[in-house]
Amino acid sequence: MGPGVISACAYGICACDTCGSHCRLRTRRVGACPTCGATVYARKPRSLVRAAALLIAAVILYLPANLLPIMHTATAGSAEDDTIMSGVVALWSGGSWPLAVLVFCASIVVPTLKLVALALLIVTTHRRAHWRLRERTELYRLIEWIGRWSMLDVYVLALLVALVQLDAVATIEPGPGAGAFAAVVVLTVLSARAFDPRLMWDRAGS
Amino acid sequence: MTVVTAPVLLICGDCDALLRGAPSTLLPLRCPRCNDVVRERSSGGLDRALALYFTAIVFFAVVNAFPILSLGLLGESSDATLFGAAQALNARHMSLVALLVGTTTILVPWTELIASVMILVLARRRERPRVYLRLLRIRSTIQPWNMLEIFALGSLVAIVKLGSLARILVGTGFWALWGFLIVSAIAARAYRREDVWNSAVPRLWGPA
Repeated sequence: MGPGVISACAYGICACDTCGSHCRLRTRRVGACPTCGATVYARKPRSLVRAAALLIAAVILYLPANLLPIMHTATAGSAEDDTIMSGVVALWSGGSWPLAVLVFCASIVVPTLKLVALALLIVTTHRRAHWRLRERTELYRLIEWIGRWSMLDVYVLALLVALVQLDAVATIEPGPGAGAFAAVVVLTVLSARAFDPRLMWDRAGS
Repeated sequence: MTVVTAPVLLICGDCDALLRGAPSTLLPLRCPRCNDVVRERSSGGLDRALALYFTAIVFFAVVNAFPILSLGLLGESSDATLFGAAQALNARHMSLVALLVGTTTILVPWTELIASVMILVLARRRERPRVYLRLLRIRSTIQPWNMLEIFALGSLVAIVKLGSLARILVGTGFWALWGFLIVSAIAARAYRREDVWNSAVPRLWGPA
């Protein structure tokens, strides 16, 4: 806890998620907003357990998402399966390296970083660590903001499948990895939303 | 009327620090403890936000109506609209992924646009029917699931990926999509939750 800074919760005050008004808490955890009537929670309920459960589900699906093909391309003479990584390699060897870097970041760096960062945040918070609170809060903001960008590959796939439906010449079909990859993105976004960064400050302070 | 400039209390959303700030002079404000933006700069008011949201609706209607990309190869051609992208996955037994794509690029953006306009219209008329609160909750809940800017980037990647295979044409929907993104980013900045509530609700505390 920084010098002279007091948590609003310690004063029994909490900001309403719906309208932003400040509310007086009825108990230590719950109150009702006088402006809009919504129930307000001082902290997201069961935050760490929910964040951890969603993260574990994402970790499990991370393997099929990266190992199974997400796309099947059939042209007149040949057919090939693409995984996330081979799609990046194809862009790179095709000469468009700026896009290859972009897709590599969105589809491989960001999901991996998110899994590691969420695990770090959940474990350090659970262990009441004082370590680098400000940087950990910044890290949380980063993954909360950047997490959605992993959807990039899902949209590219949807557009390719919609466009390349020329039965005689070429077709592109989605592969089984696509479902797993989309699930990893959604689960990590949900996990980041379930995690309450204020708990880091609470637990380090007590 | 006397204007009272009492200091107001602010609560940081990310670390729960309780802060004192002057009512509207020191904008924007960052949390001294964890560096979160506690309060954003005010801009324009309800009328400006409403005008921008109407413009965004016009752009988004065009995005929905026209193809985003078309492809021509050996005399055959096909095109992809916003709906077509989700529909193509659905037709290939990927209905859950199709649902995700359709929700994040069509359903959520439309809901957010319509809810925003209804909120702003009601706020300008200083009315607060029961549905008002529900609209505010819907808007704040679904907002992170509007992913059109990522879809727009995806359309660029798709152009490059198919460029070696076939002739790609960008459609009206493609340009409308980028126009929509610019307008809706400005609209989202003009929309401030505090303005919406303050104009609709009699002030419960602070300067009258």
